Amino acid sequence: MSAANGLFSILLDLVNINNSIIIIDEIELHLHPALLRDFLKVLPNLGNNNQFIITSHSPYVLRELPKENILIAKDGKVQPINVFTKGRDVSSIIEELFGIPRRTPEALQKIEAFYAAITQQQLDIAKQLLNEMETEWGTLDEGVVRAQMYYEDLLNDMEDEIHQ
Amino acid sequence: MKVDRLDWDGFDYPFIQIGNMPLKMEMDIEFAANEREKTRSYAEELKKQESPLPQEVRLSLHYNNRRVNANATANYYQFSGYQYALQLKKYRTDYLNLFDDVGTIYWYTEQRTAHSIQNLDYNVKNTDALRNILAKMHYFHLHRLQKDIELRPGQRDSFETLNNLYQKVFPTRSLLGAEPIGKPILA
Repeated sequence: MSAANGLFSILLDLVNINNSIIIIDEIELHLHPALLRDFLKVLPNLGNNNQFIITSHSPYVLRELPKENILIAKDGKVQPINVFTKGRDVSSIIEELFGIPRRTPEALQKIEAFYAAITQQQLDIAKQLLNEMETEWGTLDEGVVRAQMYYEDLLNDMEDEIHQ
Repeated sequence: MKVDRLDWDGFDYPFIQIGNMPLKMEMDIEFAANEREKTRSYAEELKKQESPLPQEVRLSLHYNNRRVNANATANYYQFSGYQYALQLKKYRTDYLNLFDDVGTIYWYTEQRTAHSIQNLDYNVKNTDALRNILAKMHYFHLHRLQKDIELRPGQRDSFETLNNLYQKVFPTRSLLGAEPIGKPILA
């Protein structure tokens, strides 16, 4: 029961709750993102004629809902949002709605330094930064994959120049 | 009306008012025709006619500075259908359908736990009490399956309903019911 502590009390109540307004603060509490997704999908079908009002700071919640169903509380005001949410990746939602960059400032600095090295054709520096990114973020990271492509292109261009 | 008088399950002002800024709420709530009619008839039955009950489809409540304001005093009573049903339950033998058309507001705060049950039918203060309720529900369910108990109109097998809800969220799992703790006692 521990995985769904905050959920079980709601489910037990819903045995007898109909025609009601159910307010759930921070619905993501205690829930793994996969379970949260499953819970949000079935929520409208729980009980009879209930309306759910939920609060959340989780992009995993927002990506399950169309923007028309979301209000944001900001600067003491509650307002609709203009950002598309349903079905989108959480990084885009975090960046566009919460205003938080996808990566930490240190990571952004490293990416910027890598592309500066590519532009200036500093192969050794670019290689070193690419190695660091691969070690820290893994070789499947979207940013690393893109950086690998740029590095390979630069390497090929420089080899072509040497052959010419 | 003072905010402390709001009789909504789980609405606990000290838990909600935790910041420095005073809490402010505005609500527009629509009422279905059958809920309005049931609330009116329950109020009549309980002789709650302090003032004529309105038949507004849409009501507004404004909460500010520890007071809740509505457009008219009588509007508060329209929110009371569920509370009226609870009162009538004590006097009715056919109480099972009392709650079919009336609802209330439930509030689950960030402090909720597995035994934060808001439903007044269950008095759950700790995990043992929760186990006790689930065991009773399971006991009733088993007897219904064995055909010792036949459901009356409006009556439900709560364990079965709970299991159906549980399986909507966890399709691959089901509630087993009361299980003995520890090793079985050998004869």
